[in-house]
Amino acid sequence: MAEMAPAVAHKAPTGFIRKWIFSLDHKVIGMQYYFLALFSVLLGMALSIIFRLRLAWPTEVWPLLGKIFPVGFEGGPMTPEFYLSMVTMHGTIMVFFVLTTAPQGGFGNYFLPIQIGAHDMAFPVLNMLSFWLTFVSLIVMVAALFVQGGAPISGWTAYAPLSALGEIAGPGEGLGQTLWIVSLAIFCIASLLGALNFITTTINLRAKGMSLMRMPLTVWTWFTTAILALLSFPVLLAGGILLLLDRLGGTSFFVPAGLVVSDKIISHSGGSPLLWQHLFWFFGHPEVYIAILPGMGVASQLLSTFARKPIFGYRAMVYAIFAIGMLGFFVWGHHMFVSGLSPYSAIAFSLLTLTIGVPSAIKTFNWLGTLWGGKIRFTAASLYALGFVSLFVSGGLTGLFLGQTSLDLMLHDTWFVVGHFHMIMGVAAIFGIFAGTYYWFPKMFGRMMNDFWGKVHFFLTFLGVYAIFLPMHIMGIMGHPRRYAQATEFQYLAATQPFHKFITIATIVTAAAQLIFLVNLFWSLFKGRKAPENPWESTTLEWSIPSPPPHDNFGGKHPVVHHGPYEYGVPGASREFIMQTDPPN
Amino acid sequence: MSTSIAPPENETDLKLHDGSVGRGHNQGDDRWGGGDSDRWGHVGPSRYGSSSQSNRLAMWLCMASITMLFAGLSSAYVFRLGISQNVFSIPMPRALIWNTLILLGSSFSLEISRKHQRESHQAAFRGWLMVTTLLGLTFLFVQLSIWRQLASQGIYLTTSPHSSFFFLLTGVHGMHFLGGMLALGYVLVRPWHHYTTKNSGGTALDLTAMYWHFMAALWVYLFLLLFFWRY
Repeated sequence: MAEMAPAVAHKAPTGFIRKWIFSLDHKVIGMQYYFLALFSVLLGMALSIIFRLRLAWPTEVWPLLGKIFPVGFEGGPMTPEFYLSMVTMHGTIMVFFVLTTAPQGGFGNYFLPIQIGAHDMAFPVLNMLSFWLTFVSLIVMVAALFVQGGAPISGWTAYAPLSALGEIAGPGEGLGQTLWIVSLAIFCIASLLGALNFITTTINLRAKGMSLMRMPLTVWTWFTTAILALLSFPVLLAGGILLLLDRLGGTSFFVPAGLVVSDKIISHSGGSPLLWQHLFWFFGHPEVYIAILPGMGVASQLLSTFARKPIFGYRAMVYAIFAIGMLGFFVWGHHMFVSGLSPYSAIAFSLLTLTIGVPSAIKTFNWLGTLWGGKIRFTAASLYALGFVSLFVSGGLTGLFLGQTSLDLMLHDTWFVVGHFHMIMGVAAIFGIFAGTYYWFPKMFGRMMNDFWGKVHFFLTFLGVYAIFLPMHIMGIMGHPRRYAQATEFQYLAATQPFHKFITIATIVTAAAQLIFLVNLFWSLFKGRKAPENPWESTTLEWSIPSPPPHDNFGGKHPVVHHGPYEYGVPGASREFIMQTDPPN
Repeated sequence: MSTSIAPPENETDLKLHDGSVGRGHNQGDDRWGGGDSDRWGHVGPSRYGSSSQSNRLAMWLCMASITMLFAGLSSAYVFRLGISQNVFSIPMPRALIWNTLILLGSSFSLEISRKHQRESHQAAFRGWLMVTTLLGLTFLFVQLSIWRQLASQGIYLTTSPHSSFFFLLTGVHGMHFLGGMLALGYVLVRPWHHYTTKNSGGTALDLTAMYWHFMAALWVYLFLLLFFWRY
């Protein structure tokens, strides 16, 4: 059969459109995903600065913003509804178009086929479709900002009945919310196509010698993430269909009977808002791991490379990745402890939630074990991998608080939760993306990024995110509810206002520090030092080919793998590191 | 096939190959495409593009995700009816029983058609494929006429939770079924010579059959859920 197979999946395209726009090449599609996520993260960050202004200075008038969003600033200061719409869009854009898109769609697309020795994904056309559907989905989502009534105000979780009622529930709950649902439905389909491709490619297109237990841990995390996406996005789609029918078809899946909104009795009857929460969180919890797992893979790959040691406990790492992924399907109830859930189910959900601490601790222990006694090379990439571990631990520990039913009663829906999930799901995953960027940029674009400015960027960002998110935990313990545009009217929260100011200033400073990254990225793209084939002396397959790789990755050759992924400093070896493709000893 | 099994290089390899060697390397077994790499081990060189093995796996994954979609919808159904004050449920339309039989018949005729394809009987293959297509069209037509019949009796999407889910589940199933019809149309119009060599037309036909039977099984499940499942 091998003789019959064509040497490459498709010929190198010549025209601009087939090469850079409607490309079938997984590397170009990976870059398209990456830049889509870059646009989204800047947008999401800008939105967060807008709502942070409202929290720090609730009564301040912002003439410039008022000109851009006249509806949101009617009568002077930012309206609470506008604040909520900014929060909703910030969360939605960050979760879906950044944390789901960059690590998996971006790096996964670019490097999964190369790391397993394939010439492309199993289904290049599906891959292209998957990206362009994601693009359409983003356009629809961004459009929600500019339609009448503005963006939805129901948060990234779109809790019913607020999200199910239409315009009567507030500005943004009309067309804005409908666009939000349609956008996510498109996103679901795009993710399903992508997941299908990742799983098939990993199972079927591995090069000769690339056994499962020789796959880099990045491949394991992309593979597991794809399984999570394949099984969880359809449930979000199911919820989305029901929600859309409630809004447009007059059904009552999520709208309870006898609901009175704006002095009007709602004609729907008998539905359950909790049903939406069950469907949403059955998707929503695996989604957390969809965001964070690829970061774990990148951290493992980088810590091993830059500590010049084999990863500590490779097999344990693989099993831990899978355990985290699979357990993630059975813990959605911990988002609903205060919803009136039966205490018996709550205990089951709580126990399963705390069980995830075990594989997470295995991973952390193994990262530390990898670093122990290593000759660590400090680069921007390795610093970000270390930062990932730090944030994963800080964010993970507060998960143990929230996973207990009794403690969660107190902390639920406070800023403590906001601090927790931003640490572990937000910035930890972002640190994984930054680590991946500094590490793989030379391979992707054939040029080096500036390492000094990379380190400056790291230290500012690292301190910045702790300055932003640590105080939130304290505010949560003080009882500050989340989602409130303003808490100055509450006597008992008077002491939290300085925290809000501090966090807002830290946000602006940290956001400004990202300019260093952007300048470094685009400057290096055109003016950076030419990158050698293997600047980090790494062992995986992508470092055995030119930077940037040729169209079919391996120049018409079929790579053969003889070694595990992380053979650094092997005693008795002729070289300090052994590439996976090096001949057997 | 020219490649041979690479000798295990270390202990890790030995463990992995154990068991997979005997399984994947049967040339006559084309369950996984008769390929040169076994499923979980790593022996042959990788193949590029859409091999039939990848296509089959992708179809299984596709069915897994559709299963999750309907698992989500049916758990919503069980949850919603469990708390409902409005207990009106649609009396089972008689035509649904006949329609279920029509759909199962189409699965049956598709299998007869595949048997003729394997035995290279072109005329019989096409004939039974036409029968399958007609049965499929009949199924969709009857589903639509049941919708119209219910509407004429004053039963709509919003009448009760049961009616909401009836229209929703039959509708979403119908849309997926339409995909199966398109695939069937595709295998119907392909020239015969595609079906005489292995792994080209045969694969498309196999995939269509997998999906078609899946749609039939899914319908039987939905039918039982909607009209026979009770608290």
